[in-house]
Amino acid sequence: MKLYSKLLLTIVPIIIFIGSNNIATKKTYTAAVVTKVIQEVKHKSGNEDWQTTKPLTQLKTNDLLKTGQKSVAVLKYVDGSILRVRENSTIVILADKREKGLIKNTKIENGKLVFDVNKQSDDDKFIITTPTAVATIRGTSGLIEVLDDGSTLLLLQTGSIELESLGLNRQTSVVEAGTSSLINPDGNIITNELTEQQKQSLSNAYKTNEKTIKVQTNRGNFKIYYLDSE
Amino acid sequence: MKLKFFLLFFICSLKIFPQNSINILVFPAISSTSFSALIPSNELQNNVRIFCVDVSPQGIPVVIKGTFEWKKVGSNVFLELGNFETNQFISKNFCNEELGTAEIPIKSFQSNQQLIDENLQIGVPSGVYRINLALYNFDGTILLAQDSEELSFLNPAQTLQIINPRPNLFYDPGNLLVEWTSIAGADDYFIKANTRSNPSQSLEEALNSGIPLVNNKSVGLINSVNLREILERELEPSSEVVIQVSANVPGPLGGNRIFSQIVNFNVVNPENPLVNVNELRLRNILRRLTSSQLLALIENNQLNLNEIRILKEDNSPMTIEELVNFLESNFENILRIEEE
Repeated sequence: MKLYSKLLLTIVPIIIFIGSNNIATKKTYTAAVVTKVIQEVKHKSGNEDWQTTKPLTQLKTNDLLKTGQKSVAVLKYVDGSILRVRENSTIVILADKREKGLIKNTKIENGKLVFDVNKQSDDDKFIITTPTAVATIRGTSGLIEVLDDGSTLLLLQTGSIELESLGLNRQTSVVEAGTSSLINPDGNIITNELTEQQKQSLSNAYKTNEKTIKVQTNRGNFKIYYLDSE
Repeated sequence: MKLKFFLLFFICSLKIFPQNSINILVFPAISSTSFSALIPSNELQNNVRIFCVDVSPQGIPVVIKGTFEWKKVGSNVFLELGNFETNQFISKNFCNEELGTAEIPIKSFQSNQQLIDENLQIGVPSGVYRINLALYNFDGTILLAQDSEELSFLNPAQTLQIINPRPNLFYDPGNLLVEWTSIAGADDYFIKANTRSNPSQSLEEALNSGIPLVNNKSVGLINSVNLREILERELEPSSEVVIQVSANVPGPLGGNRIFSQIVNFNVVNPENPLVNVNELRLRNILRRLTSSQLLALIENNQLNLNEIRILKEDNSPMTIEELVNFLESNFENILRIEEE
């Protein structure tokens, strides 16, 4: 009987503690501001309908943001970190303010984003979650993409990242700059050096500055819009 | 009160120490489904590993019953591809290719040939496949545990597709970009190309006859390559070429090779005075972008490219060749073309 009582005395405070944390996560905090919108970008809060996103839109906890074809959204987080959400992507903002520091968790459901994360203090965390991985980032830049089968591809340009896979064969790994990591749905992490094509892809993904080329003809004038480096 | 605590503790114990369990582990890298591997029999042992099963407890006589189901793309219901039941065997962890062996003999199996034929006609896995396994006691009358796993092939991008060149179009032999979709889990891509000697030859025949232009050349983990850089013999001007890309996906038993469609295209003769190579390249790159009035004018021969003026962002001039080079190398970052 004493054993059961002890068990209950242990479990109940844990449940209360977990419950209190859940309540905390239900509060909303402005975690990021949209600084640039290229073509079709939409966002929504809670049960609201999708709204067209404009520059200076504030994104709070649990807000969703999605980009259309050939579209890009640039987000600036409260700590100055930058996310470039590339075309056909959907992300969820899951920021959570703790007693000390702010946990900035961005969940990417599909598509790809480029991150340029400022150095985090000991109490702060910048996390990117995908269907198959959790990446804890501290002063790092790179690209994270959710592939069609749910695998995660991480191309790391600078710094290092703590990577945890979520599949059956759950693994953790610290990946370094200049590497690509493929995290399979089964949880395996395969790390290789960046290929030239991946470096090119990484470089292209940073381009968010809209520019034009003018084509003047005797049948009318045309503008070719393209993305260039900032 | 004592009883409540006892029940609570008992339920917790059951969760922590499961008595009977069966867990299916499917190999997600599998991208071509062998249906013989899904339908086990005693006569035909399978060599394609699709799933493995973790059984607990081990070393006791059990029976396993399984069904394989398929949900077509766009459908809401699963249809049964086949089912099987084993004879009594001593429980152990196993993989699908051990079904039908002396250790795990099959008592009965049935398959829906019509559905299997439908799958084979599609040629690649599509929709959602579900494997259901149930662990029974020694005579198959008491269900001990069950598990179910799904393999999804909902996105056509998982099929290896050649994006460029495009079928039946004309290309400059000096600048022939081969581009394809990526396959998750692939560790290498291979290119095979050949000349099609006459239109009566099927694309497969053309690809596999004579000496290829490129013979399954490994190009690494990339998604585009300039065909010129990997040619094993020279392209003939004004010829028709067929090309196929394949991907190697590592996995059990040496992995899997996934093949793209075979694409046929034409090589222009750059020395032909009637051929404007830059115009050809511009047409091809504009076709890959969203449709635009600019493309329509070029396709309808309503534009003389020698008379157009091209200006960069800073209003400095650009030649047509520079424009084509720029569009080809920055294809990912071209947003749209608008008429002013």
